[in-house]
Amino acid sequence: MTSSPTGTWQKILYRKQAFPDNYSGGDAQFLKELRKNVSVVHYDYKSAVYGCMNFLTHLDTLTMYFVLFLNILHSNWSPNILYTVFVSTIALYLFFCKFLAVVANSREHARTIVTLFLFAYAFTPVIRTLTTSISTDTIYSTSIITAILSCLFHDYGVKAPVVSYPTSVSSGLSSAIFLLSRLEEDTPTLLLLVIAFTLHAYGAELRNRMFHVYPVVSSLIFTVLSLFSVYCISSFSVELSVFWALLHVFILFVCPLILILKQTGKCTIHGPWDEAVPIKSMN
Amino acid sequence: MNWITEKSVLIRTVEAKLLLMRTFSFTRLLALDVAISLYIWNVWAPDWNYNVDSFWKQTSHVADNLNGTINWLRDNPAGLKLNTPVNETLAWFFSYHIYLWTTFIGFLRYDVFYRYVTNSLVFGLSTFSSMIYDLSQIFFLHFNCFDAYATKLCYLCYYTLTVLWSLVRGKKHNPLRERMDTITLDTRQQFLATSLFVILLFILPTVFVYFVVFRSLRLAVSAIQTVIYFFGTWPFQIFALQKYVVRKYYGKPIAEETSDSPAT
Amino acid sequence: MERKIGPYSIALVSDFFCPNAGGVETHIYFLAQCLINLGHRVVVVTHGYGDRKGVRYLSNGLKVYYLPFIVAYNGATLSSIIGSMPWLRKVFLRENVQIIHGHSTFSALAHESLMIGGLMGLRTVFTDHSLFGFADASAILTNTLVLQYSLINVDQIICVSYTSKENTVLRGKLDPNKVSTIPNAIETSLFTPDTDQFFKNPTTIIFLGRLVYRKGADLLCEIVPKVCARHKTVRFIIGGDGPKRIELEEMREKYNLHSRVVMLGMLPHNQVKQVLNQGQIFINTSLTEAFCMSIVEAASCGLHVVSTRVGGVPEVLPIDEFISLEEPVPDDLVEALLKAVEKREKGKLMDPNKKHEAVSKMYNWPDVAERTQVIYQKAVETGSPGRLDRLKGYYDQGIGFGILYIVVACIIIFWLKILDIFDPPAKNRLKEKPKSQ
Repeated sequence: MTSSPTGTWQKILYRKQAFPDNYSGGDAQFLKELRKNVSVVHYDYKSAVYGCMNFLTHLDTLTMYFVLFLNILHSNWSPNILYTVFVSTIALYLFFCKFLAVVANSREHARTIVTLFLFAYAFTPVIRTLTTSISTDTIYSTSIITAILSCLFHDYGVKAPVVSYPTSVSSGLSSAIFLLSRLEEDTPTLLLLVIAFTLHAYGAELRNRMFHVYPVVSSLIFTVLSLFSVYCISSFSVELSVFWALLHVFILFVCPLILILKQTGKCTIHGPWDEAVPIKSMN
Repeated sequence: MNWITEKSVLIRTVEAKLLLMRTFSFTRLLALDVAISLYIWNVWAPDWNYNVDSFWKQTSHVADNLNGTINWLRDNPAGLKLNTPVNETLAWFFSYHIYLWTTFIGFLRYDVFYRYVTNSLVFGLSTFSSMIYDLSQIFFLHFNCFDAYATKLCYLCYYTLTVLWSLVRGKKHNPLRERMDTITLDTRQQFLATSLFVILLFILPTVFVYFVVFRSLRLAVSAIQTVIYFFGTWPFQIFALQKYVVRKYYGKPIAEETSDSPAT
Repeated sequence: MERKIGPYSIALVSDFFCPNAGGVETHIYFLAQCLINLGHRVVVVTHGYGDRKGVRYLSNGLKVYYLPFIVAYNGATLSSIIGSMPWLRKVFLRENVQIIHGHSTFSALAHESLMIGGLMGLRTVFTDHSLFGFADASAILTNTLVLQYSLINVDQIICVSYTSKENTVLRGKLDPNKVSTIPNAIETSLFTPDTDQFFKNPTTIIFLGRLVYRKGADLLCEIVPKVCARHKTVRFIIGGDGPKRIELEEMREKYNLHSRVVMLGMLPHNQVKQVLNQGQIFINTSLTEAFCMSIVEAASCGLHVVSTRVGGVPEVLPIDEFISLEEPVPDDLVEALLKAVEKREKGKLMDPNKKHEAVSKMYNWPDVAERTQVIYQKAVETGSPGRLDRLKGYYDQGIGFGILYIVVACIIIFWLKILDIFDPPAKNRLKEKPKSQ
């Protein structure tokens, strides 16, 4: 039990020091390692807006899908429009495979397309007659709920623990299947099924990469898409389209502002008592 | 041959009776048995034909009711969300089987055979009941088949559904570690899994309804057969009860007790 | 010669005591033992364990009150402060308690008794054994709802390391002068080295602890195969059980280390020494520790310790001779382990017996008890805030939850007065048997 030789206080416990027990280095050393707001991320308005555009693009594509379905159901649009959409979806998918996909194996992609078609073709009659005995309202509400679920678990280019690719794809596809059971003919069912699947399975990656690599082009596409979706909804109900437009404005401009303003009020305390975050090695 | 002797209640009870006839208390019961049956014979014998005819009428009623139920189900009743194509298929399948069943029992409709059965009433109520029991086994054989089909189908559907439910959320059961593993599927598998899941989800109520119908039919038949079985073996039950009561309350074994127990 | 302190009548209150075995439990047990040896009167108050209710005497003469309270979650009682008040009042009056010493933030019983004892006019001391974060929901609730209000009226506070003191001061918004640092200790006579095995056994690295995320089981999973790949003969012994055991078994199978990694499963506390004696190096991968008892146990058995630099660990043992510290990065820990193995093979590690001697001097229970009784003296000699001051303290901390505490305190004051009329304190005090010495 010797006191430390020089008489200065040291932050050690294994030696009894010549200071009373409630002394801990005075103001110089006490809470020296306290750090505030270490992990605060400084967001800037522009990147927040781009993030919102990413989210709204997904919502817009979903809305366009619903609009397409409704128009086909009520035979408002000619089937040619459906064929065009279908062909463009396939073209986008091929573009995605060739240029943006991580695993650029053409054999795998061809296999995917073939399997998709075959099974979609096989399942179409089953899906069409799946829910004939269930009321339309139930079907529509279930479809919307699963679509919202799919949006919740979707990947918007931000790493978050709630993101789950299987859940998002499954719920998106189920929402499409519920809807498709209302249709009368086989061909639109098949095409819409393929479109829905491609949208949910590959849309996320394509969109995230586009926003990451070509932000300006993506924002232009987004503007066109949102205006078009507002216009399409207005053919069904004007109030809804106004609401939709307002929602766009709110999410796009007001929400990033709220984020930036609230970040300044953040105050976190860090120090040696924090639980360490183990760094995983690469392999 | 062995299988028949094991399964047939009639043969087993006759063997047991022959074995136990040496015991006086059992012979008492047998005598009572024959007395009751003779009494019933007297009551029934005059209008035996009427009885047989009414029996056949009842059987065809059962067949008609069954067909009627299947047709009723075909029309998607009572707010049950039955899937039409599956409903149609299952209804057609089971109607055809019911038709097979009615043809089958048509073959069994021979007067001579039933004379023989009714004459067995002489040998005692228990003999008659055991014979009826054996006949009912043959009669209602097809119901067991119906139940088996419906159960298997329903179980398959349910099991696949539970597995797919885990799969669409990205989890798979690991039998080695007995826990749920996270698994990433490629897009084809994801598509298949989700489509199959939704399809099976809607088909399950239909299959379940058929399962309920045929399982309850088989349970009803089982209940009737249990009652007949009791009548077929009532002397043995009373005999065992007697022995038990004597042993418990009087503490001495019956003098004429044999070493083998009744083969019930 | 110092003036003799006391003797005081002390009640050690906590939810965690025998028959449970853990850090807090052993701390209370040995502290009570040493305080009795110093001449104070000590009783322990805790909740009932299964059938174990009522008053019991432990083998060293310690009197323990097992009160029949309901255990809600994780060993802590369901606190119903007003409901526990008659029980605790009775116990404190009977034993003529002057100082109430509560242990562990997780123990609701400790907080209750500090509050009630304070309102009865007794002196209060609290010891904190763990570190907390600030950011997750449970931490925010514990800090604002419990700690600030509970500790504002406690006379003295003890923490087990300087990091723990900083943490507690920040969490409870306390005056640093009221907080003292007294480290934990271990019973070093139970953890002696075995020189035979130390020098003759092949190089063995030992890990003992629960296999949970908090204790760094993931880090361990990464370290073991790397070390085994770079060194041909080193062995690992892993003791303990938990949710991460499956991952460790998988790692063992994946790298085919069945002969080099031994997994012992759950170890009872009395077998720890035998296991520690089989090795020469101890690895600790915890992600947060206030004061790590296991490394002191390992050092007492003569092992060299390799640990992560978290919490209060850097303060516990002298660096380089007794312990090697690294950040919780797998590669750094692997390097440190390999260096330690090299030192062992060259025979440059400190002799285990010398290490044991040194550790016995660093941490022993009589020392801890002496320092604690100085704290008790401080608590007794500085005045205790009166009842109004206590209520004002709650108000000052924030009226949001403070109103709740004020109301409860008022109800307790009221009922204390009523009980004092019907059940006078004088009648309750245990008549001391005349000592025959």
